[in-house]
Amino acid sequence: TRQLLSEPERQYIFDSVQDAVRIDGRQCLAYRQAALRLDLLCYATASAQVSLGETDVLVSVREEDNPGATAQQQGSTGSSASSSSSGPVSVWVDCSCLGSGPEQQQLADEAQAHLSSLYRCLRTPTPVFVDILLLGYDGDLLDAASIAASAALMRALPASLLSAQALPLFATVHRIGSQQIVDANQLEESCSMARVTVGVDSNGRLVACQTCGEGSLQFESMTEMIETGVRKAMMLHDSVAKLVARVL
Amino acid sequence: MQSAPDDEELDSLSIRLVGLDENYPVRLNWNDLGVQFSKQSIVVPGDRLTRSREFIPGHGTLRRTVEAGSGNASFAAGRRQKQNDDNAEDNDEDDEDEDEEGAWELAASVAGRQHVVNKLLCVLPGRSRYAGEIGDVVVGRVQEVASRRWRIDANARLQATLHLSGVLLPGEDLRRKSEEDERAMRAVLAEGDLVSAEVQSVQADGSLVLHTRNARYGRLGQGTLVRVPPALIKRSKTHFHSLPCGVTLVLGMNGYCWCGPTPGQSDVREPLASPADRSEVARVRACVRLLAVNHVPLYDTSVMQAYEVARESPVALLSRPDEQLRVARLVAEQLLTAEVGEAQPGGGGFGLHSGDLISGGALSAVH
Amino acid sequence: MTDILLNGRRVDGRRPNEHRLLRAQLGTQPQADGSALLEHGNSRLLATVHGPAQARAADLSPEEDCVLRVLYNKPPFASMTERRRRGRGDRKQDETALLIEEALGGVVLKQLYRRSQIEIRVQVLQSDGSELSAAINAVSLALMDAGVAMRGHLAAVTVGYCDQAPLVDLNSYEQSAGLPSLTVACVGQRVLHASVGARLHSQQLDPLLACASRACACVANQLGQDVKAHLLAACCFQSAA
Repeated sequence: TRQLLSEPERQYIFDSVQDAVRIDGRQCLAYRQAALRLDLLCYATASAQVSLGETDVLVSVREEDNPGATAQQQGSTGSSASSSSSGPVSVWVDCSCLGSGPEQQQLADEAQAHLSSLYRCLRTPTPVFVDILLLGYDGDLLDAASIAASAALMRALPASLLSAQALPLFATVHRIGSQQIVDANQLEESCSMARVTVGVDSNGRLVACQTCGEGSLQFESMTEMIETGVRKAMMLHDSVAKLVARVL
Repeated sequence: MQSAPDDEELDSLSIRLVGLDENYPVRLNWNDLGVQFSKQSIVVPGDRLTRSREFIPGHGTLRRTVEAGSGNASFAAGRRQKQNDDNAEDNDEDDEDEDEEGAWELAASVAGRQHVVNKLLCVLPGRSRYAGEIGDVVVGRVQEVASRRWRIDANARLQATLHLSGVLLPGEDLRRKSEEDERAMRAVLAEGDLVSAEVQSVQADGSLVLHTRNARYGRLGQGTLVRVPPALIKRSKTHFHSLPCGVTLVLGMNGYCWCGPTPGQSDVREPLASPADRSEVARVRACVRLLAVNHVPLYDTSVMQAYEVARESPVALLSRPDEQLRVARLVAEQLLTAEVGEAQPGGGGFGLHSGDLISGGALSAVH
Repeated sequence: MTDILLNGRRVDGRRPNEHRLLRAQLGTQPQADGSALLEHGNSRLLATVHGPAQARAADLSPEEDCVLRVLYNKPPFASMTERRRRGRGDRKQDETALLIEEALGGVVLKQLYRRSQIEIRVQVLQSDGSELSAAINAVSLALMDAGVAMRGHLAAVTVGYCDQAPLVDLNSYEQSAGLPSLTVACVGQRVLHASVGARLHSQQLDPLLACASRACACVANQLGQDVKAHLLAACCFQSAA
């Protein structure tokens, strides 16, 4: 979502990134601290709340008992499995906490499309509903949402299933001038010309890849950004795995 | 100093696990530092404040008739003394009627702390939009360029207005050619621009009229904006601070604070800041933010103290709530110690120890 | 109905006149002008306030009154029983939003906010009955956090009738059992809003209203304590003139 900014402010953000000193003092490829809260919702099979700075995402995972209902709700994952033995993962994103305008709706729709494609190949014994509620926004929705969804899915699904298929995570890389940054906040997002979001599983395989933005990228830049994204996603996997080992 | 934390930042995502019943993020609790407000001075909407006639209703209060039996209460909202002039006559008439009917009382209309200045009784909420006062320095963002005026977002409940006549123009007489007015206006201030200005007047409807007829006001250059609750900005002699670390800090009374690198003495209009400068600006910005989220008043002394305490930490660390609490606590303790040392009841300090204004004073005797 | 009350105790062990545990946290969303997270038994709601800010010309009435808008959202995971996803623009949610708006219209001092707009967003994270009253309570707290002027503390409660006696604060089990019920919102002594949940006999109205307004006073008292505790800790300052 574009913010109303003055030209000097925009220039300052741009130049700061070129000098590798971001507005909040971070390095270009550093993430903000994440806070994770598990099992907040008692009516869900599992839930996780992740905040990256002021981006606050609540994810609930529910297993649907009623097989009849799923046929009506295939939605964006309609193209996958028609067999009854394994169910698809259905994703819903809600940004109404930010407002009811078209921008928020667009944010929600894009995020839903991205996250649906992330879990496209995931097979679960029963159909699983992943509902994502955005409670606060300061950039980098996809990465935060995938971390929260991962944490919730790990709690909800049996361990045997998880070892077979690894849960993918998103890493979003923005390009500002000649520099790449990750975990952009809202101001940086509005200054970025192009971004690449990669979905990577814990084995390092690319599951999803999407470019966005008004600027065009040279081929070399794009491959660089994808490589950075994959590296960062592996880093996220490591950190999440360490945390899971502590908690579970 | 920078190497180890750097690698850590890049190689892992720091994940803070929050317990289910844990209160996170934890913010500064002034009670823990020994500051006690009388419980009576904190009110919520509907709480009765006083029945005494000697108090004038200010912000955050409303006047209502005491409900005796099944009488229907009539409500008249309390306004600020200055804005009350138009309504004063109406209220006086109501008063005369009420005198005959029965007693009336002042009640709180917001949740906050009671405050008495001479005979003016008001309730100050912890957070609210900026109300505006003549002479205040504010920072605003241009929303719209209209005919002969700019409409500014100044964190108030209505848009503020900056007239073309209220701007100090660089010598040219733009007002002659009316067809070129709008184009010329955008050259001075365009949509999205940040501007520092002074409140010229507060209109009857509450909207603000600003002016920049002084060399220090005007369009703000390279830098970044921080938004904080207006109540935290302490009124001082000056709101433009050139900090020793090379950062210019403008603390708008409306809660919009601007940090930017102090331009040097060179002839270049807007020299590009160096990475070191940017680091300092980031540090000052982080200090302002951490003080604001921890309810510490913002003025040059508190920001500089936070800067000193936080000097050793990498700037990125200052975005973490745990670190923010640590720094804010140290600053608060230092401010309290300084206040006690001053031992001045009225002037100086920000009235922490004189906060216990109401309990032993006039109002408790009224009930 | 024996499955509602057994030996004078309800399914969750409460007595008929006991309200569930209430806990409020103010200022949880720093990006909003005011916010409140309310825990009401197993229910959990987040209300945020945006404004008062300049209203858009298109939204203003000819009299240029304050524009007060409520957006009510209950995600699919919020309730225990209902799992189906609703489409956008659900009617029940719009109705609830309108009811909250009406109740607020009588309590917010709108004459102080002419030409301004106040937008309130409610997210129901978990729901265990008495949704409307929980939402009104959460909104009331968020407005206090935002410093919006009100006549008093608007508190609400949902009461039901069972075995010739009122039941205070219905949970989802009791509400879905189809008991005659009433949601009441009060400011001090005055009732601002009353809506019937399920079929009510006219003779049941008076005792229920009396019970409800007493319960509202208790709710207001309880939540007022949380607000004051929050203010005491934050110590709202005024810059010395």
